[in-house]
Amino acid sequence: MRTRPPLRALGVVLLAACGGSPPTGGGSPADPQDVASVRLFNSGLGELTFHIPLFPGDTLPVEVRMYAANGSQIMSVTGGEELAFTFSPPTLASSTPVNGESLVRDITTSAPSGTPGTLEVALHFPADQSTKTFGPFDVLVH
Amino acid sequence: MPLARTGSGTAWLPDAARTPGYHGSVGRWTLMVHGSVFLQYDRQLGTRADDQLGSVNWVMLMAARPAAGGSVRFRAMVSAEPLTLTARGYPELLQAAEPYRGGTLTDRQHPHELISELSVGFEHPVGSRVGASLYAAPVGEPALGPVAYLHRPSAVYDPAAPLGHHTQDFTHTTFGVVTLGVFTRQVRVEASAFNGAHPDDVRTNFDPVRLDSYSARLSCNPASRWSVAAWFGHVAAMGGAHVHGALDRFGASVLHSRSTWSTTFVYGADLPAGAGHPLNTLLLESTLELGDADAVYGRAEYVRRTAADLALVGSVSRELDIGAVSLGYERALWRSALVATGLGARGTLNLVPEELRLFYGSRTPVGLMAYVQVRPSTDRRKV
Repeated sequence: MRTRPPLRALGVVLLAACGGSPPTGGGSPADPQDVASVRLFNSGLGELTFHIPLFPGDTLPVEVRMYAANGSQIMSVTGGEELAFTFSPPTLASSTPVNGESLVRDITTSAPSGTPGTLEVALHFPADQSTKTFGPFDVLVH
Repeated sequence: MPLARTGSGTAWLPDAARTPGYHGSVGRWTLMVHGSVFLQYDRQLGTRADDQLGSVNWVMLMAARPAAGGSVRFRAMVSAEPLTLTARGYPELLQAAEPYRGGTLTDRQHPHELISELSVGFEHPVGSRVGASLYAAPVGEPALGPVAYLHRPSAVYDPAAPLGHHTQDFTHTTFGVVTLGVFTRQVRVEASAFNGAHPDDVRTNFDPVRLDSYSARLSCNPASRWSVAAWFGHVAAMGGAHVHGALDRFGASVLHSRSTWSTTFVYGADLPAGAGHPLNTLLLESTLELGDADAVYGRAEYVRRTAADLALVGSVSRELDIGAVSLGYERALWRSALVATGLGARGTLNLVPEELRLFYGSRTPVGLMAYVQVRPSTDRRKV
């Protein structure tokens, strides 16, 4: 649902007045150090943060969403970001970037069904040359 | 069995427990109503600050009568919280995260279901000292956990849910329950089959009923002021938005009530399948009424949270120790023969590990509530 700009502005003001956490990133980008946590999503499966199901032969696009310490989502970071996935064990799966989507990577696996493992997510921020890693996130080949 | 012993589901209160309500009779029917309505301003402080003006509320209706040589009991519990708190519930720092519209809701306590219980129970004597019981509910409470917090005399003035709610008494609203029991005047042994699925995030509907989990509970009221219980259950794994693995749940409780002072101790734990150790929780809560006008209450808790409970998987350790101490006070405002109102306030000091400082602004984030409570003016008063 789209929100009209004046109503959205009013909503943000009311939220702020009540001590709530308006989403950041609607306007200016956040600083890299504001990124405190990430969650993982897939457009069809929903949130994958707690469990990433992989199926041999299938490609699973995984979107990384960034959050500030107060739980509000960060839509963009000054200078952008570079995303990398590391699997453990390394033979568990591999990932490739998605054109035009800096926070999405396609995951594929050829590991046998029942193989467990973990994923580590690294975000590199060119603006200050910092890197933040998050994980482990549980992965299971079904 | 004494009517005053009726807690939540088939759980027992001490016979001496005092809970606000009315009871009366129409023909062969015994009727009971109890409940509570809070209008509260809730303010949580720190990095995850939030606030809300809302209402925690619930009403329970019960009708019982002799039937077929025993007694049959119908019970319903309703709550307007899906409207008065919205489907997102109320802000409560460090409460277990829940799925909500494809995402995850953190630091909030969910509202009760519009219909939290619809049940029928039947008790029949088997010999002179032993009885058998059957409890069936499309939505109700299995024999798993203590008396749910909102029905405990030790929490009668407190609008907030314990942080350990999801491990201790979360199943008080379960879509599908059948419980069989055998009891004497002092002891009851029960076994339940129930639905291990969490209620979904639409709080005004009926979820699918199924029986895929099981539990057993031993309850004992050794004296009028005491009620103790111990339980064990296996909760089936489930997929979908509310995905969780299978887990075992166990614990024990001790409830004590004497005239104006009620206290509850609960140990509850989850043991997820494949985990090497349980996730423990402890709760001690107490309420002391000072004369007719004042009441003070408190709650101390320890919970072992997972990163998933806080929606911080990958950002903090897999498990974290959380503490919380709450103190509250309520002053009577106005009282009639049927209804009492009180003005109250409560504060909670949470204790979190260093790695949560970033997310909560300090190691001691605070939550506050001020409220007006409306409840029956006496203890299950006969009207």
